[in-house]
Amino acid sequence: MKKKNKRRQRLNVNRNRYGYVFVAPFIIGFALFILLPIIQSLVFSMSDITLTMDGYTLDFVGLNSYSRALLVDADIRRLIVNSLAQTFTELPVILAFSFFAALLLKDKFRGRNMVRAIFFLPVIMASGVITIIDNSNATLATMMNRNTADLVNGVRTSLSASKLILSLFSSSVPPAILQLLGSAIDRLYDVIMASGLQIIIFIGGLNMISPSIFEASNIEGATAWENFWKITFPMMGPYFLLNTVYTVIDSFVNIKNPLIMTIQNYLISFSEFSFASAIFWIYFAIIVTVVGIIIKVMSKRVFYYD
Amino acid sequence: MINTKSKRPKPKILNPRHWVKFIVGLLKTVFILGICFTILSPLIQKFSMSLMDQRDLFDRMVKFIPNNFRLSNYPELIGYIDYWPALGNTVLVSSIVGLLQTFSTVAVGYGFAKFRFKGSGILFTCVIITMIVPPLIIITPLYLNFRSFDLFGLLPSGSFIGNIVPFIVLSLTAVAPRCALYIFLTRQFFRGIPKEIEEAAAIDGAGVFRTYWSIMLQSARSIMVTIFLFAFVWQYNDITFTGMMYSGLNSVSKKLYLLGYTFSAAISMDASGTAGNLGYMSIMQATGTLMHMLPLIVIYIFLQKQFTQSVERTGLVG
Repeated sequence: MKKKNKRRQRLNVNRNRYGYVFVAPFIIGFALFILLPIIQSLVFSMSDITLTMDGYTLDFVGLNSYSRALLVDADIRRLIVNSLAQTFTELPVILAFSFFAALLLKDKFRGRNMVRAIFFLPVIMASGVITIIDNSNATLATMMNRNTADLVNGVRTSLSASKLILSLFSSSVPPAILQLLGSAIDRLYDVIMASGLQIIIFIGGLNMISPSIFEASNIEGATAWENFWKITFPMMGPYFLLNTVYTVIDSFVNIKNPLIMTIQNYLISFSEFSFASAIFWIYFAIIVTVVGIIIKVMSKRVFYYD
Repeated sequence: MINTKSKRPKPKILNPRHWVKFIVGLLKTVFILGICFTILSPLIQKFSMSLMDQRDLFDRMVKFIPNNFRLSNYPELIGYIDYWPALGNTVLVSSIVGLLQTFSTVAVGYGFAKFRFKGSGILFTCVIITMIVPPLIIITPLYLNFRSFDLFGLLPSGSFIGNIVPFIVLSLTAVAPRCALYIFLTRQFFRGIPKEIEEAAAIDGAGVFRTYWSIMLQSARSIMVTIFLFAFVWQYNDITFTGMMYSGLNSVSKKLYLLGYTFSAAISMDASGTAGNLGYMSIMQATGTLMHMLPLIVIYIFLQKQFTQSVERTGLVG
C-alpha cells in the first residue's frame, strides 16, 4: 500500500513538472516585459532621462521627483485623494448594482438571452477609443451648452432629475447620505458601464451554489427571504471579495481616472517621465496598501464553503 | 397547481400571493428594461445623430428622429477616415493578436489550474501583479527596450518599434495588456473541470499534451471564444498602446481619434463659424464611432451565445 502511494506520488511529481512547460511563456514574458520595465520605471523615477540616438542615458537624482510630487506640486495630493474618494464612493454602488443585476439575470425569463447580451455589451464596448471619444463629446457638449448637450449626453442630463426626487426626502435624511446617493444616481451610466465583468463574476458564483442546499432549506420550511440572507448572501462572500479587489484595481488602471490622466499627460514628454513614474509609484504604493487591508479585513469575515 | 384544484381554489385575482408575484415581476421588468435602455441609449443617440443634418442638432424639437435626413454622412465619413483599408488592417492585426493571446493564455491558465509545481503560488502572484500594474507605466520602458531590442545580444540589434513584432512577442508570452485577466479566467475555468477526466485520459494512454490538445481544448471552446472576443476588442479599440508601439498602423480607432484633432484644428483656425463646425464634427464623430463599433457588434452577435455560455461556467473563486 505504502509502496503504491509512493509510486503514485512520484508519478504526480513527474506529471506536475509539465506545468512549467505550460507556464513557461508567462515566466519569460513576465521577466522580460513586466518585471524588467517595472524595475526600469523605478530607476527612471529616481533619475533624469535623456534620449540619445541608440538608447538613453540616466543621471541619478535620488528622491527628487518624489518630494516634488508630494511636497511641491499643488495638484498631485489633491488628485490622489480625489481618485481614492471616487473609487470608494463608487465601489459599494457598483457591488450592489452588479449583485442585484446578477440575481435578476440568473433567473430564467423570456428574452433572457437578449437581455444578457445587452448587459454584457459594456464589457466589450467600454474600452479604448470609444471611451475617449465619449469623454471628448461630453466636454464638447458643455462647450456648446445647447441642445446638443442633451443629444450627445442624453443619459447624464436626464438623470439630473434624480436631484429633484432626492430633494423630496431632504428633510428626513442626512444631507451627506443624500449627496452620496445623488451622485451615485447621476453616475448611474458610469456605474453600469463599469460593472460588466462584476456581473459576470457574480453570475458565475451564483451558479456554483448547489441547488441541493436550497432544497434542504425549503424542506425545513425556510422562506425565500431567509434563503437569500442565510444561504445566497454568505455563499457569495468570496465573490464580493474578488469583485471588491477587481473594482478597486479597475478604477486604478482606468484611463478615466483623473490621476492616471495626469500621469499620461506627463508621460507624453520624455523629460517628465521620471516625475510621472514617481507619481505612479506613490499611487501604486497607496493602492497596494489599501487592497491589502481590504483583503485582510474581508477574508477574515468571508465564509468559504469548502 | 394540481393540489389547489382539490382544495376549491380561490379565483386568481383575489389571491394576494398572485398580486405580489405580479408586482415583483413588473418591477423586475421595468428595472431590466431601464438598464437595457441606459446601456443602449448612447448607441441609439449616435445612430440618430448619424442621420442628422447640422440644423437638426440645434433644433430643440428634434430628439431622436431627424427632421432633415442626411444619409451622406456615412460616405463622407468613410472618405474622411479611409474606412475600408483601415478596417482591413485593424481586423487583420486584431485577429492575429487575439488568436495568439487566446492560445498562450489558455495554455498558461491550464498550467496554473492543473499542475502543482514548485513556485506556482509565487508565479500566480506575479500574474496578479501584472493585473495591477497599469500598462501605461511600463509602456515607456517597453518602448525603449523595443527601440533597441536585441534579446540580450542574441539577435542582431534592430528597432522593432513601428511594426507588429512587439505585439506578437507580448501576445506569445501572455503579458500583453489584460492578458493576466485572461489567465485568471482560464485558470478558473479549468479548475471547474473534474480531475477524473484527465485520469481517464491518462489510463487510456494519452500523454499530457495529447490530453491538453484533444480533450481540454475541446471542452474549453466557450472560454476560448470569450477570450478571443476580449483580446480582439481590446486591440481593436486601443490607441494608447498601439499608438506608441505600432505607430505605422492605420487603424480605425486611430483614424477616429485623429478625426477629432483634425476638426478641432480647423475650428480653432476659423473662430467665426465655431458652432456650425462643432455640430458637423460631433455628427461625424457619432457616425465614426458607430462605424467603428459596427464590426464589433456583428462579431458580438455571432459569438454572443458562446460568450454567455462561458459566463455560466466560469465559477470564479478568489
